[in-house]
Amino acid sequence: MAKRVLIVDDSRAVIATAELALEELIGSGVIEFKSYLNPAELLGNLQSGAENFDLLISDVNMPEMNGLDLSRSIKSDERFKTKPIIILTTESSEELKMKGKEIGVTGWMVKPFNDEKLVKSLKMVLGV
Amino acid sequence: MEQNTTQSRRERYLTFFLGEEQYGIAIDRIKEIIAIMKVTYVPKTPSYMKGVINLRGSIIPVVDTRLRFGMEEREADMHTAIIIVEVEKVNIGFIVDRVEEVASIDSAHLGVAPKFGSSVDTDFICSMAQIEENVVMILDLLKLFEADELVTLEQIQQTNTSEGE
Repeated sequence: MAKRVLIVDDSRAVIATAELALEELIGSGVIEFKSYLNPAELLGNLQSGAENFDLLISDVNMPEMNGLDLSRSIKSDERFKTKPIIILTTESSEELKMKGKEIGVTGWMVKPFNDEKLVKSLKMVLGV
Repeated sequence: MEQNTTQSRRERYLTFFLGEEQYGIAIDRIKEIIAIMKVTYVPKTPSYMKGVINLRGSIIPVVDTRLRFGMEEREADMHTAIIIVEVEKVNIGFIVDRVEEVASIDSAHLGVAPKFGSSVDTDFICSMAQIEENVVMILDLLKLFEADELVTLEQIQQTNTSEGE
């Protein structure tokens, strides 16, 4: 069964870039891909049970909600506690990365990202 | 879920906006999407040729898509992007107002582009499709350039690459 990969980012260009990088995995049915521009909408859908995921890729700086706060809220929910989250951001400060670690995010990638690296990380995390 | 991206009859397009109009390019031609960056002007080139960019050491000619389509030039903002596309083995950057999404369009929903009379050059629009309330014009990038223009772009790329070495 296809693994469900979600991305949340307020930039449509970043979402499109990630989707193009993952096109082969999407096209071959290894993953199904869904994007959100608004983290609050994603969180609402997860909490209501309308959404689920095998891997979440999240930006940090978004207008409605910070990606780390979003990750913390998701991780505090028993249903998603063990689900992997990869942070994809322009932020590279050690302080923020530490904060991410404490919250329990699986990986941290800095934009602009390398397509191959994204695919490799995703395959590794999902075991596909 | 509202969309199944894995059905075989669906074609995938990257869509973008120029003003209010939405356009699409088949994704197999797209190399990458980058934020607008410094474009170096190259003298004696067509007005729609914005110049060249140096992308990780590769010199890539960049087209102002608005000017190529006869639209007004526009100041770059935070949404302005360059879509790098491969046309006849030449990498070309297209400056667009904003990137929208990767969309799946059922090939059965692609309509023939209307003709606006012989005085209007719309040959580069190969088909039209509807995505939600928007009509998306699918571009045939090969037809966007005359053969000699592609040669010019290739020359610009080669000249600047060799000068940069």
